[in-house]
Amino acid sequence: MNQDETRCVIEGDSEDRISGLPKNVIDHILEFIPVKDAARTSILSRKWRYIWATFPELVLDNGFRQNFIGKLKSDFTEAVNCILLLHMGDIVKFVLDTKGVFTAKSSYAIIDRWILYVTRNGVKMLTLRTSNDDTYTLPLSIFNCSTLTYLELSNCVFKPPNPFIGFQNLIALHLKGTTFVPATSFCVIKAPLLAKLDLILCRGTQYLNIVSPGLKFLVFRDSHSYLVLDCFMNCKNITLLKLEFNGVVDDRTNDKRSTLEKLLVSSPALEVLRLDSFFVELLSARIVPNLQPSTLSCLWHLHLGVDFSKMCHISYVLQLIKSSPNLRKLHISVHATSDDAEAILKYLDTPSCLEQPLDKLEHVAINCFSSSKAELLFVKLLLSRSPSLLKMCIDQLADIDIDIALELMRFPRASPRAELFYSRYKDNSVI
Amino acid sequence: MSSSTKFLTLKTNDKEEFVLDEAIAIRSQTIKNMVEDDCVSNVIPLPNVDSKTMIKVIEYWKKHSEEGISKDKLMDFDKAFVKVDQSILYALILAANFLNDAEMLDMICQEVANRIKGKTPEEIRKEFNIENDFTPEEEEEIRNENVWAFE
Repeated sequence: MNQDETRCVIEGDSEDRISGLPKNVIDHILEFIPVKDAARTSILSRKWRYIWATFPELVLDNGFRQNFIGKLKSDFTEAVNCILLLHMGDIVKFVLDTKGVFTAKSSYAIIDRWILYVTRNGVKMLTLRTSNDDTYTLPLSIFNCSTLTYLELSNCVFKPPNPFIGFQNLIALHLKGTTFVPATSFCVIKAPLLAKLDLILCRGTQYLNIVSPGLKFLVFRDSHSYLVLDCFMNCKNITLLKLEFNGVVDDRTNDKRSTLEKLLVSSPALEVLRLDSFFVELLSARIVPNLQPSTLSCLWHLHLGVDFSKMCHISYVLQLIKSSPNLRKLHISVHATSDDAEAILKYLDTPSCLEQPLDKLEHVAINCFSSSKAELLFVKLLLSRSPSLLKMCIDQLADIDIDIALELMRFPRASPRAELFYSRYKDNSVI
Repeated sequence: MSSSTKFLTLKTNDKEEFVLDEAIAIRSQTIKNMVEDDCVSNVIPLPNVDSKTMIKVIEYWKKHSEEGISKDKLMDFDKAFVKVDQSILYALILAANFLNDAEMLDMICQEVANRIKGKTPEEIRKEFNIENDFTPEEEEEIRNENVWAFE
């Protein structure tokens, strides 16, 4: 024991301060504690007896599930039953992860009961994660729960009742690996307050019709190339749009391109846009893009997947950059490249391909760089046109090449403050 | 809003006065609300905070308002900041709660949580000077209620 600690003890620092903290502070501390540790606080003293039982958040997540590794399924069920039975008052937040615990359909009735219980107890934030190969069909109690503001579902079957009034108070909806089954010809979800929607690798999205006029953030990652953006045409407040495609392209129709194009030009509030190379390809297929110099006047962050062996990609990317007069951050992920594309090199070497200065551009990141001539010319072009540039970060999977580094260093920079970073890819470099 | 720096005087419950840049002081939602509602005269009284605690709070506010400071540096600062004796930590929690500084409150609550996590009830009682006022029978009953948690 050092001197300081000794003094504290002598001064009589044996006071129980934690038990005297206000309830809101104790609850806040419990938010940072795994449920097992939190449950054990009930035994500390009389003051602590019911603190956890009245704590309105029950997070039975992956960490909770780990407590039952090597045990019986019934131990898990018993514990969840116990937690819910002992709980007093509202359950504002409920997280349940049953991955790998329930595999048989016969167990789904148990999940139904837990969900029913929390929807009757004022749940606002509900997260349900089931196994990848599960076919858990959501119980009606979820669709009838009007208190929900946040709903996150993984690997469930989403089949709304008919009629379905929608989620009247829902603000954020995160659906992953979810299968939509239409009640009639469409799966209509009315969510008037919805601001944030993530659709990650869902199935049956072609049936989906989400009515959410106030939507601000839309993230869409699909493994099918159906593009169901029609229902978002009336969302005039979209500020963040991320579209990613994981899978095999089955067909690429003009319909889809025009829907996406329409969405871009009809989203005046768009601030952050991310398109992977599939969508850049889709949009760039048309010779004259429908973009005007200030179409994307609010856009400040643009992240694109680019194939540097394709002329259409490069010219579309430049088109997007030109249409975004307030662009501050540009992130390019190199999807593919080729060294023998004379036409591209010629195009990028003509000053007229990007005449105007990019006055607001401050940060550029290029990842998966592969040092092709087209990429180098693109970097050169950006450096020469960006008078406000602060940082250009280039990273690649291979070790850095000293010759390329020297070449990058030689490029004239329009901004005297621009710093150039050239490094090997690190996982945390994503912006 | 004028561009020139405005200063506020904060007065702690032991009558000490602290003159602080308004832009820094409004990290406290409580002070921000007072400024916005225009109910600030010359001196803002902070009846729930003593000067010793306020010095620490201001140290934290100033560090977190430094321009261009890196996330790593802030993390190191935070780590060192919460490595204090319990009495100071609780004074800071109460101050952060009263001043309504969510970021600071989060950080200190996280620290208290870290001191609880993974400990047995007996260890937690010792750490926080909590007196066990249950009879052995009562304790047994609570253990049985939450068998899964005490295995």
